[in-house]
Amino acid sequence: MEIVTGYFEIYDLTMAIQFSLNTGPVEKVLKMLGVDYEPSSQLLEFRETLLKDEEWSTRMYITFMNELGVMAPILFPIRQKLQDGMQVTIEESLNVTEEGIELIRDRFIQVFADRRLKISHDELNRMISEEPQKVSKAIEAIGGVSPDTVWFVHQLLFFPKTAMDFLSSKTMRILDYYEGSGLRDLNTRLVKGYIESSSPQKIKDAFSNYLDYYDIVLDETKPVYITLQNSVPHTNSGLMTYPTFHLLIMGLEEVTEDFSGRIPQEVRLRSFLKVLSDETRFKILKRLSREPATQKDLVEFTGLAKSTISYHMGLLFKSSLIDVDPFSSIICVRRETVSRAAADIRNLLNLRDKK
Amino acid sequence: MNIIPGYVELVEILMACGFADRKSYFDAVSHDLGFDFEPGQELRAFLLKIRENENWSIKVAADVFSEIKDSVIFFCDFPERTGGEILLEDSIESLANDFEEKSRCVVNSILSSNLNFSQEEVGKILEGDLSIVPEAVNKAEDLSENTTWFITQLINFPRQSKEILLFALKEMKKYYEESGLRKKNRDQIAEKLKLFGSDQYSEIAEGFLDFYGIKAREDLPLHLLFQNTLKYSGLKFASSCNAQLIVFSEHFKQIEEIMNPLVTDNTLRLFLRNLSDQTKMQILKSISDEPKYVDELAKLVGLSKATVSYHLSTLSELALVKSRKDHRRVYFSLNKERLEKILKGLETLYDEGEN
Repeated sequence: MEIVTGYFEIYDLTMAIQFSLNTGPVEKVLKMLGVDYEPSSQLLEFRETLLKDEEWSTRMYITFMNELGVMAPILFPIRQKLQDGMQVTIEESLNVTEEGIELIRDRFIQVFADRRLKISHDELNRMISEEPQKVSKAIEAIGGVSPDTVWFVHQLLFFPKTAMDFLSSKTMRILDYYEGSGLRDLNTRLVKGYIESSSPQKIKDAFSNYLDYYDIVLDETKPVYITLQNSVPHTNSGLMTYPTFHLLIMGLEEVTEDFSGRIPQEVRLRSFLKVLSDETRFKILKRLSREPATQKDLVEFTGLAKSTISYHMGLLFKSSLIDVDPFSSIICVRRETVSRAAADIRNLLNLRDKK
Repeated sequence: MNIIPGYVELVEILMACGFADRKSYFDAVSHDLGFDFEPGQELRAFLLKIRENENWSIKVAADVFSEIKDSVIFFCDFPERTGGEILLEDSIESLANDFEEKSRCVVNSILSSNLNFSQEEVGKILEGDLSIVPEAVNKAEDLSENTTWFITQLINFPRQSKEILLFALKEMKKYYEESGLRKKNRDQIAEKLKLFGSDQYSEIAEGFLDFYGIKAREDLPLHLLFQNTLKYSGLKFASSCNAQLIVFSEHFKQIEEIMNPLVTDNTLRLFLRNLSDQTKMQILKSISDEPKYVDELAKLVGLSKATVSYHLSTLSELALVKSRKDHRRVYFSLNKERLEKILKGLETLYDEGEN
């Protein structure tokens, strides 16, 4: 399996945005997973400035950056030849040529066609030029996202240049906040320092412990990109899978502490069982096993607040119990995780499988 | 087997005393079994009188009732017909007239259930050979000093024990009335007694004995004694001399769910939750290759015997462990068939939505 590690600063920023919009749920997930976490003063300062900015375009930007969290790699593609230890600044990610815009749009179309419409890439291209109305309807029907996000997806497909201009200029503005709060300096210092002084093998080992801990089996034909982040150093994005690669945004302290060693089977099984045996999550999983749903559906189904659902989703996703589709926010159960847990319990208690 | 559901008021006092010094224990068990228990104001008032009491006899009796109630219960008479009841006054009078004979049955039960002597040993002791008793009493770490003292008194000086006990019961009867607990229980029981005629109760009792692998004697009546004080307190089987009984409560509804031949979602979830507890997992793991007794387990997991016993009682209620008495020790082993059934349930939990 090909694994490339490095630092794409833009993901550190998306992590900070995500934390700012979901502070409660993020902190609760970490607590539940038994991690002691105190946000840095720089992150809190960034959050304060970001939330104070009431301009409509900022609201739109952070809304879709948050909702399309798993889409970020498509919006900020990696154009260099990837190699271990590479570091790409936010400015470099934003320096998009005409050619670059086409590439982004094309990747976007590919994922949208594949995940959302279940049609081929060429077919969607044909629809965009011949039946734009149909495409618009499909965008409107994306479940579980806000009108802001729908607007942006629309722009990207039909007016890619405008969409990318918007994206760049807003990112530059947020970058000011990122810099002004001191968070950029903190993150760059720590992550660069780590990458320059340690072997990439350490990150790969931590990744392997991470896979083992969450019992994740990868499609090994695709390369894996691991990019570090330090905004919320004890957390990761969860493993995201795209048509041609996997991506994991991993916390720096996960590499140096949480996943620096192999975690005993018993400990990981116990934490998995804690996640699974909670009454609300149990109910949610049962619901999802009947039919995939969006977060909004789950809010209605349980009658709980959106932030509470998002906390439960965070835990379930991290424990590999659910898949979240990067496009439609549709969530479904991963049955194989449950089967593996049953096998682990059998193994632990010396029970032979009588199947 | 002739099953006789009925009501003995004295049992309520035994149950109430059980809560006097072990509230945290009951809270923990009810949490593990997935329901909330809130003692009403009447029970609180009763307990307050017991706890604040300076009288030495009352203190001794409260400890004894709490710790060995499944033996002390044989001081009672039991109703001979379905729906029959025995009032507190009648129990006290009968105890005063017939103490020697009843005391013999209580001692018999203490020796075999609380001190784990074999039947031959019990026979010898009752014939006057007391040589093995002191050692066993001292080894029973989960019994308080008051209780071990009372046991020794009961075996050696039954007449003096009678005075203590009768005095304490008369006092407790006052508290039982003044606190309003008597009226509350009587109001609720009045309705219940009419329903006792139905076959439902016999079925539950038979299912219970069968599910937990308890062998009751076919040639003797089985008394089902209802209690209302601790609604969630488990079903308990006890036998001594020629009497056998099950104390039951509203809790049988929970037990019925656990006993359901189809593993329900709730039972499955309770299983997962209990397994996610470090100590319970350790206990199950240590008995997975061979049966072990409480002393051994306490050393293995590095906790007190009382804590291990508490975990074992929850695991027993969920039928995850089985116990067997051998040479003055109770050996616990995994209930592998039951575990297998639950794990099958886990594996198929999310299948229904598949088709």
